[in-house]
Amino acid sequence: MKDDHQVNHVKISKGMKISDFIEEMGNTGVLGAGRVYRATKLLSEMIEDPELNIFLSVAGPMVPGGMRDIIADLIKKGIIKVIITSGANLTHDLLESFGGSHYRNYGFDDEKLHDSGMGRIGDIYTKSEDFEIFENEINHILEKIASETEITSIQEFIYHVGTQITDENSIIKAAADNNVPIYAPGIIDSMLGLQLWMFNQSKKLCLDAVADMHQLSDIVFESEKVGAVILGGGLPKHYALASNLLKGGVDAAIQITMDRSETGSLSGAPLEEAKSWAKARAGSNLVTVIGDATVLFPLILAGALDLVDSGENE
Amino acid sequence: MSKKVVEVKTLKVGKYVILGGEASKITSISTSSPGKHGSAKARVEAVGIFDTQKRSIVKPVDTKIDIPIIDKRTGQVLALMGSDVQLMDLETYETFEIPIPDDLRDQLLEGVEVEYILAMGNKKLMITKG
Repeated sequence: MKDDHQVNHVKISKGMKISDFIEEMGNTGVLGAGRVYRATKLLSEMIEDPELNIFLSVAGPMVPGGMRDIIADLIKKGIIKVIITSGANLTHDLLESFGGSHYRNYGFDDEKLHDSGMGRIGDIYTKSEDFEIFENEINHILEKIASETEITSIQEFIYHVGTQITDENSIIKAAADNNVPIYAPGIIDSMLGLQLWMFNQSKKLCLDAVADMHQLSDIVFESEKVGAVILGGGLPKHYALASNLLKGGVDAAIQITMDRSETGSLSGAPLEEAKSWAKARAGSNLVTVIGDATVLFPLILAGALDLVDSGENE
Repeated sequence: MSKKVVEVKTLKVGKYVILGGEASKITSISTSSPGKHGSAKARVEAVGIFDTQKRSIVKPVDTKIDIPIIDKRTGQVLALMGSDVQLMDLETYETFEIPIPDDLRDQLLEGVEVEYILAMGNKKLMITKG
């Protein structure tokens, strides 16, 4: 690493490797480039540290936005200990598991989109036919789960759903197969939650909202160290940090967000703020990267995995 | 046989459906086109025949639902017994007691013919005749 009181200008060359690109970010070391470098370095250290468990918090349209494979892969590689996410990401994972897709290039005439049965998420689209198949398939799964139990914790429920999925690319299936718990405290607020409500009109399948706290707390206490990787904000961000409260906070955290800090909301709050709550330890290594997680997380992850492979952290 | 299965899309306001285990008269049906929530759905509101409780259910129009088999029968008032009235079914001659609805209290006299319904093992006095 060059003299760290100097801003060195970024050098780009043809056929550049990601690891060299990240190194250039580090040589510059300021603004977003500096954050990307520091996040990459920190992520590679978190991955390599055998005593550190990574909690991955996923909010926003990450699955619709193309991040499904990356997340499923991280689970299969054993890099993630715990996933905390929204009901929406679970729903969209299931949508694809049942044969549906997410689409692009259908324009912005929202009333016309509605008439053609399409919903828009930014410049991503869904088709109502895919949701009809989702409704059908998930109801078969709910029947199966309800035939064995009337009440289940949210994490267990997601696990049971995962055991019924056959799509090898599914995040929920990967988590179930690899014993990675998925927590979704806001699960009811999603199409998965909607289907669960409608199902409960005729047959009982109750979600015990409190039941997961104990298991998650046990994981925190049994971990030597905890590192949080936070994509976006929302409920998942808070749940990831607050679950570490009793133990004094996370030991390291990376957040990628475009939320602003001026409103005081948690989503836009800098990670440093967490130290005041003991959601992050004093002296913990915290990096916030400002930007779009669909660009920055693949980039930072690619860089981190390269660093891990190259043994640079030894 | 007290109930049968029909498709949700065949339900109509004024007809009957079983909600929460109670035979109920449908008061409104609103439908949503297919969308994020899945296939086309109907939201059915109904009032319990015997408990007058309002209930609702939301289901895809192509799914099945139970409806009560309503038996409309004629009876004759045998005796008034406080809050109940003793009736005799004019076809089976079976006698039984059922509660007097408030709106019919003044019209019930011995010998008067009435219409009552039989649904899911329960009986309810509906109107007097003649």
